[in-house]
Amino acid sequence: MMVPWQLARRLKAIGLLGMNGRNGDYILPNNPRRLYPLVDDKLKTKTLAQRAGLAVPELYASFRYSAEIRHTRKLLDKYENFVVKPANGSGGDGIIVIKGRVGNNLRLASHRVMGWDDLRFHMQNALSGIYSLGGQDDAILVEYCVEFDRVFDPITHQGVPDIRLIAYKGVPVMAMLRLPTSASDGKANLHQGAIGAGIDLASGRTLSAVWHNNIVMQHPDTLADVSGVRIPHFDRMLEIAAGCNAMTGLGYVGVDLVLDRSKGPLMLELNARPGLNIQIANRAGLGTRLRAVDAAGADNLPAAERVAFAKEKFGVHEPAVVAEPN
Amino acid sequence: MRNLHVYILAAVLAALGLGLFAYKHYIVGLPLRERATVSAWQVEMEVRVTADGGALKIALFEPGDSRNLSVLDHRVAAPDFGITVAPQGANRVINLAVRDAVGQMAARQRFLVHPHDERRPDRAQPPPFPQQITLNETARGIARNLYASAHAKSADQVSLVSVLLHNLTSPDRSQNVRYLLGDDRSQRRVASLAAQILRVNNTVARPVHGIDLAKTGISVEPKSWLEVLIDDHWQPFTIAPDQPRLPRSYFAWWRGDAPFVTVDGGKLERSRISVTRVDQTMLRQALQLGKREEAFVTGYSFYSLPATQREVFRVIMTIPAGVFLLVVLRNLVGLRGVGTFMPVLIALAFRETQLLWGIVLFGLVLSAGLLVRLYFEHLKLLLVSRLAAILMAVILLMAAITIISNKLEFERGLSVALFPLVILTMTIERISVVWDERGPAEAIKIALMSLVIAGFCYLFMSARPVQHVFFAFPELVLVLVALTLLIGRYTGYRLVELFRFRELAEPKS
Repeated sequence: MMVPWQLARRLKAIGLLGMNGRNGDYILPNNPRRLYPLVDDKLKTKTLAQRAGLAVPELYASFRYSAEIRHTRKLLDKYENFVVKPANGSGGDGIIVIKGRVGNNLRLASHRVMGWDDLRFHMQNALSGIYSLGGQDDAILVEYCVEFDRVFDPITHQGVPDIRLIAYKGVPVMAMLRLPTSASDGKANLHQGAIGAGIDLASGRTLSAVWHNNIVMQHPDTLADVSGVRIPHFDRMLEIAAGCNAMTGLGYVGVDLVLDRSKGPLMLELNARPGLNIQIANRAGLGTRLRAVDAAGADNLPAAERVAFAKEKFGVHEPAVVAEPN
Repeated sequence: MRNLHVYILAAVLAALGLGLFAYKHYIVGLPLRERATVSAWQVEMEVRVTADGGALKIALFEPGDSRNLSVLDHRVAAPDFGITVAPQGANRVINLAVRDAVGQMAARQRFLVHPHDERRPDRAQPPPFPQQITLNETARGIARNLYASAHAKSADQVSLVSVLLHNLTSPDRSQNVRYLLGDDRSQRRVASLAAQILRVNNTVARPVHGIDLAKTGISVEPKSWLEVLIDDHWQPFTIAPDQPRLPRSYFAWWRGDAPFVTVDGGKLERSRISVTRVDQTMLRQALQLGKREEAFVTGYSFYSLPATQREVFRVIMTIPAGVFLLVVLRNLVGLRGVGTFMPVLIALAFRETQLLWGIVLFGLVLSAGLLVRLYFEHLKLLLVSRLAAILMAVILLMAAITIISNKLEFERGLSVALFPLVILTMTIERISVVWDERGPAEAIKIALMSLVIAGFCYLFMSARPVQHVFFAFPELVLVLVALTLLIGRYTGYRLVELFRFRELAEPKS
């Protein structure tokens, strides 16, 4: 057991970014408060991304007023699969995934059956702000249901495997793959029990993974290896992330991406205060990398060179570090 | 640049706060500990007079401050007399007068004497020349001789007076001295005579009379000593030659040859001085001194407020302390509670109930409120109606607790009525939002954490020393502001982060 100041010195040596450092040195100076609604409201983020030409799951319909809800069936009946999301929801609450029909009813991804009336009631609640922070009025978006790339099949139990990238001034600085487990109830948040695997920016290969603060080699549900997985289209993901700062005006942003079987990487949402757990998954500190970006003035480079800078500077350039299981 | 700005601002605020604090603590004398006491003496003088019938006048001396002693709380109790105070030479005289006095009359004066830091003596105003000389021609001649022999055996004014006093008091006094002193060999007589001898030789001197505070009792003897004007300052000399320096416990009461009490139209039966030692809080002393000197600092402080407002501010001034503790716990330690300042509000609510009961009641109402909420969740109510229903349920619950505990004659329960309702409902709402978003485990964790933080804040805010310090020295809030600004620019690790990221501190394998 190390004494606190020894711990602090070690963590400082690896460039670990703490909550105060993130807020004081990166979020406050780079993320103006007035831009937060752009990323807190998923509907706004989506329109912004579409305008910027970023790949996002196609928007089927959106609802802002409860009077619009009666058109739900008319608008959505033509889609076999779709996802209903509250625009201000967080942590995956209030999301309903529809996969096909059972007679006149809807079939959920969890194989339960739901009537159109039930769906409308759910949407009504969501509009009144049940899932939004602070309970203010919300909006609903209905979008394309992502077909996950086959590469995740062995290491996905249920829910949405996604890739979180941190982009600072147009440079992707760190990435991790988040895999829901049965313990996380299909959610991709690390503190809820999802697995986080760091990703080598140069090769797109997963490094060691953490689960509940422990290093793991296998997915606890499927027992497949989670490290050393090569993520397809990873360079494209880096390019998407590199464009998000200019698009939103936020200098420090978390980009959540999913990988579709046919459409490739799609941007799901952005986060103006991305968490710090990504550092545990990568076993590396964000502070060093952020300072490297500032020192090199990398934000003035064109997009392609920013990605190249990230791969050159932050990639591992050697076989993935294999940590001993403990 | 931004940091420099913050540092300068913090330094200025801290300097301002600490400066004012130091001034009030060291110069004005407001103590850091509320109960800090200082020794003082209560002096009471009683005069009994048998009136001749008709007009009666009594003159007493009013005590004044001396170089290291201050007089406070001076009162005259003479119910039958008209009282006037007038300066007379170096003294202030209290004149008591009554037109038709019959039988025994009594008058008292009482005051507190406080030790005080030594003051630099003022440049003395010499009394008008020629000084009053009561010696006759023969005596003046002897006085000149005595002065001359003392002058021959001394080097300067100070030693001259010492030699003279020695000659006047030594057991083998010369014939001349015996002639001058006569039968009365009291200190009073010697001091008076020494002053006369010095005056004959054109030296300004006066006898001083007072009491020795070191000798307490119900009837103390007045002491007399001599003051000589040397280099524009009054230099004290004791009459006892073995004790040349005037003890610090000697308190000068009046100066000159006049007797302590002058009665006109009656007979002085008794005049008695009693001295008792009392413990006075330093706070009271400082405030009284400040009031007497009409000091700005004490005049414009919370102590000048009416009692009710004073008590309110005693509580309000602890809020900055609680909020500061919260900032430390959140930004330096890394504990998270509900809301931003909710734990401080909960801590304020604990004031009404005491800590243990507060936690029990809080936990009870909170968990019941959450249970109600869980049940409503089941009914799929819309948000605003759901919150309103929870609020109503909480009020009913609190009413029930109050009434039941009243029936059980359980006194503590009553204070739940004062337990701020809004704070509770807001807390329930916030915690249920967390429950929604992050699940019950997180919600319970947050609730417990809030209680822990609130407990810390309560203990801190309700500590008497903390209350006193911020009440007596509100400028210390500026120091807290300065520290808060500094913490606001602290971008290092929080304590819990060291634990959270401890894996990373281990060397990579």
